[in-house]
Formats: sequence, C-alpha cells, structure tokens
Amino acid sequence: MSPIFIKLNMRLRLLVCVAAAFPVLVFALSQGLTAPGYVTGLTAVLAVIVSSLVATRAILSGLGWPVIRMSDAVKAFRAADYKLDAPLPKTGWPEAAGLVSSLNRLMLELSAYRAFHLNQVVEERAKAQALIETISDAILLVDDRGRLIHSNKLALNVLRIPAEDQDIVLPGSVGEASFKPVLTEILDSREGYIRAEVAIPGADSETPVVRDYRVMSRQFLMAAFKRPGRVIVIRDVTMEKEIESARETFFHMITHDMRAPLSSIQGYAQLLGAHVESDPDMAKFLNAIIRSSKRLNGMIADILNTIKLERGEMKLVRGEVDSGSLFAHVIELYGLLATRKNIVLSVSPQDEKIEFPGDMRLLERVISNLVGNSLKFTPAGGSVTLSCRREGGNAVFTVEDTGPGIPEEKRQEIFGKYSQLEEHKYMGFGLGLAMCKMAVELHGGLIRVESREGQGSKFIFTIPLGGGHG
Amino acid sequence: MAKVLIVDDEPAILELFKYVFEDAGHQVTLAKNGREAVEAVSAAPPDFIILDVAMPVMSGKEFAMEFKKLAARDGRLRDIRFVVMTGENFMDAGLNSVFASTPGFVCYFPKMIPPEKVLEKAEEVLEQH
Repeated sequence: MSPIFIKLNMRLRLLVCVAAAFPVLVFALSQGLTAPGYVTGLTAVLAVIVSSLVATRAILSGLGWPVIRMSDAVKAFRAADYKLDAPLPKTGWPEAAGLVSSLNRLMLELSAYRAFHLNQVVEERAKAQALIETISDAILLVDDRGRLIHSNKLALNVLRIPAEDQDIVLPGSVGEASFKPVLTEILDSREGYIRAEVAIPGADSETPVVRDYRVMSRQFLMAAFKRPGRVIVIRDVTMEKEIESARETFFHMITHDMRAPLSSIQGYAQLLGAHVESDPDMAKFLNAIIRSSKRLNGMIADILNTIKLERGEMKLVRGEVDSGSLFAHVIELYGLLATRKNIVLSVSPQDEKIEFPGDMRLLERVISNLVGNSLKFTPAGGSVTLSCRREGGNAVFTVEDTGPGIPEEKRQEIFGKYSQLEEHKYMGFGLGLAMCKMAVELHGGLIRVESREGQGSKFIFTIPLGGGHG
Repeated sequence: MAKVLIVDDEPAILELFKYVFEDAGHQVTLAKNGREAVEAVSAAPPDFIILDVAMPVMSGKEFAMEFKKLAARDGRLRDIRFVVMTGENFMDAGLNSVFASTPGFVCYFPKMIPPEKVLEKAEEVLEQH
C-alpha cells in the first residue's frame, strides 16, 4: 500500500459507501413503485455498473492517470539520458498534484546537477590534460598493478609504448628495455617516494649513452579503488649531465694546468734566492714569492683532492707520518702570516713521538686548511694552537683558536658536502672543511668541532694509529 | 510576485530555477548568456537577476560591466537586485571587484546550491525593497 492511499482512505470509503448504497436505494425505490421482479433486478445490476464506472473514473482522474503519467515520464527521462523535455502538468487530486510537483523538482534537479558536474569534470580533465601535455617531463599514472590510468604523449614516446595499445600495463607494455628494471623496482616498492636514474645506451661503443633520464615516483590514493596508485615522472637530464660533466672537466683541467707554471715560479724564485743571498731585502721578497706559491699550490691540491674524494677516485699514498713533521710543515707555511696578523701560532709540547701510517701530503692539507681557517677568523692578539696526543688506538689532532666561534646550528652544516655548494664552493671555508672531512674519513678517522660562541673553536680529528681502511 | 531573470548557459539549470521560482509564484524570464540578459533587461527590467559567470558570447563579468553603463543612463535599472552564482572554486580579485562595484549586487552563491536558498535570498531582498 503506497502512502497516498492511506491518506486517501476517507475519500475512498465515502466513494465505496455511495457506490454500494446506490443500488439499494434504486431497489427500494423500485419496490415502492411495485414493478415486476426481473425488471427490478436488471435495473439494480445496471445501476451498480454505472455507479462503479463513475467512481472508478473519479479515482482514475484523481490518482490513476497522474500515477501512470509519472511512471511514463520517469521511464522517458531515464531513456533520454536524464533530460526532461517539459515538466509534467499538475493534475489530479491535491496529493497527486503534490507528488507530480515533487517529481518534477527531482527530475529537474537531477538533470541540472548532472549537467553541472559533467561540465566540471570535462573542464577539469581538459585543464589537467593541457597541463601534462605542456610540461617537458613524461608523466604516467598507474594503479597498484601497473595498469596505465593516464599519461601524456611524451611518456608513451619515451617508453616506446604503441599509442594504439588498448590495455597498457607497466612494465610489460614498455618497448624501451632500459626502463624496465627501474619501473619493475618502482612498482614492487612500498616506498612513498622513489628516485632513480636511467641511461639509454647507444648502439655502439662510440656513443655509450644516448640519453640520461631521472625517474621519480610518488604514491597517491585512488579514491575510486581505495588502493594506492603511482605517479611516475620521467625527466630528460641528458643536457643537465653534459653541462655538469663539462663544467667539472673544465675546472679540473685549468686547475691541473696551473700547476706547471706555478712550479716554475716557485723553482726560479728559489734559484734566484741562492744568487742574491747578500741582499737582505731581495731575500725577503723572494721568500714571500716562494711562500705564496706554496700556498697557491696547496689550494690547487685541495681542489684536485676534493674532486677525487667526491668521485671516490682518491687513493691514499701511505707512508709513515710523524705528527711533529706535519706541524713543522704547516708552521713553515703559515708562520709569517700569523706573525703579520699578530696571532700566536704554536704547537703544544708533546711527551712522545706519534707515528702512524697515512698520506702525509693529504694530512698536511687537512691541518693547513684548519689552521688557515683559524687564522682567517681569529682577531689580532689571539692564538692558534696545534696539538697531537695518543688516545686509545688513535692519534688525536686539535687545532684550537680564540676566534669568534661557530654557532651551534652551523656546527654540523660546515662539514656538509652540500653546504658549501653555493657561494663558497672551491674557495675559503666551504671547500676546505668538506675536503678535510672526506680526507680524515678516508683514513678511517673522524672529525668534529667544539666551539663556544665568542670563545673560539676547537677542531678535533682522529687518525687510527694502526692504519684504517681505504 | 516578482519578475525574475535567470542567466545561465546550461539549459538544465535554467529549467530547474525557472520551475522553483514559478512554483513560488514569480514571473520568470530566461537568458542563455550576457547578451540575451542585456536585451531582456532593456526590454523589461526585472526585479531580481540570478547571474552565472562563465558563459559563451558574453560572460557574467561583461554583463555586469554593461549593466553598470545601462543603469547609469536608465534610472529604472537601479532598483534591480542581483546575485552571482558561480562554479569556480574561488573568485579572483578582479572579478570580485567588478561585481561588488555593480549597483544592486547582493551576494555570491556557489554552484550547485539548492535553488530554495537562492529563492529565500531573493524573497528576503525583495521584501526589504
């Protein structure tokens, strides 16, 4: 029973009552008129039919036809893809008319909301497509089983996936074999973010690499499937790598080429020194030239060492190292500079000779850099003190100054490989400490700094006495 | 009973709002873009306008700028109140200032807001008027 009939019960009862009472009334009237019995019966039957037809007609026009029209309209509305040609006329009893009105509203709303949301979806898709087709990276969206959901044309080109392929699954559909291992790894991974490099090899040994790519992938949640999907971005970094490599080679080359003329300057200055020993001024000038040449030589060595250390190409030239002679070399190099800046550069007395296997020239550069920094930052009247002591299985070196100190938040950063990448690369503070850290670690030691702001810094590094790895 | 002009390029939205406003006893005129709206306003000034923003031929913003000029010449148009209904997630500042500075501007409604809310606002504004 639909609710409209429960509401209508009173009206229906009235109708049925009248419909039933009418033949009785006719019968009673005919009896009163004393006509023959069969005529009376026939009349009564006719009256029942007529009254029923009238009542049915009233019910139909009040409820029946509106219900039938509503039913037809809903079918037509659905068949016409939720488009309503015209709202239904509000006919019938008030309850039916109310229902027609509600149904009209429902159909109009459904139609309007649907049109609006379809427009929105089409527009959002067009925006997204325009964006991903415009950028120069290849982009793919895949589900957790590697099935392609969406991509730009560039992605299909880079991975050599035929565009007419109906059912694209990674890595199976990928034509470019070089990408398959990385894509397999990405799809198998549970990591939220993955980054990898892919090089597409050339056909012959003349061109080892045709293109370099960086592959990045991030997980996202696919709302429709409640499963994780993946965005895969493939960026062509061929040019980036070529430029980086050319830059390094160029730098390496000119630095390397500076060595010969510098040795020449140093050598001839020393020769000249031997000839003009009688002139004290001349000897002083020549010594300045020689010391500056040595310092410049040290800087060039630092640059070349850093490049080798960064590339993992550094081989230690191991020999017997003695802390005393290490310090002596450094004092020789910086003694005059310290005096000129009015800084006391000294070595703490040590009770015993400390010897260990290591790369003398590299360790000399480590201490030189630490001393050079200290001299640079320590104000006149201060001091820089070197010391070495035996502790456990290590030689512990310290370079202590009375400079301004290093703020706590910078103490880790100063050794960082990337912290010096910007303005200080290959000059001063930045490069020196990164090189020191790598050189000490290559010896199997550790380097750290202790500092109190305003009260100076103390750089401490250890070298295993028994010889470390590397 | 008020005269209401509904401007939207989506026929389904026009039909829905027409039905709701007519059901409430108002007289409704429809326009598919800003150009048709300008014509409708000039022919018979309505009491209330429901204006979409993104439309072909003439957008809601262009209509507002045109309407400002018309209202400056024709005093009858200064009594018209209008609301802006937009599917955009945000209103950019430029658009905002165009509508806000147009005489008769009442408020924004995000699409798709139930038509009753717009009807309520329309009746409230027209009552005050």
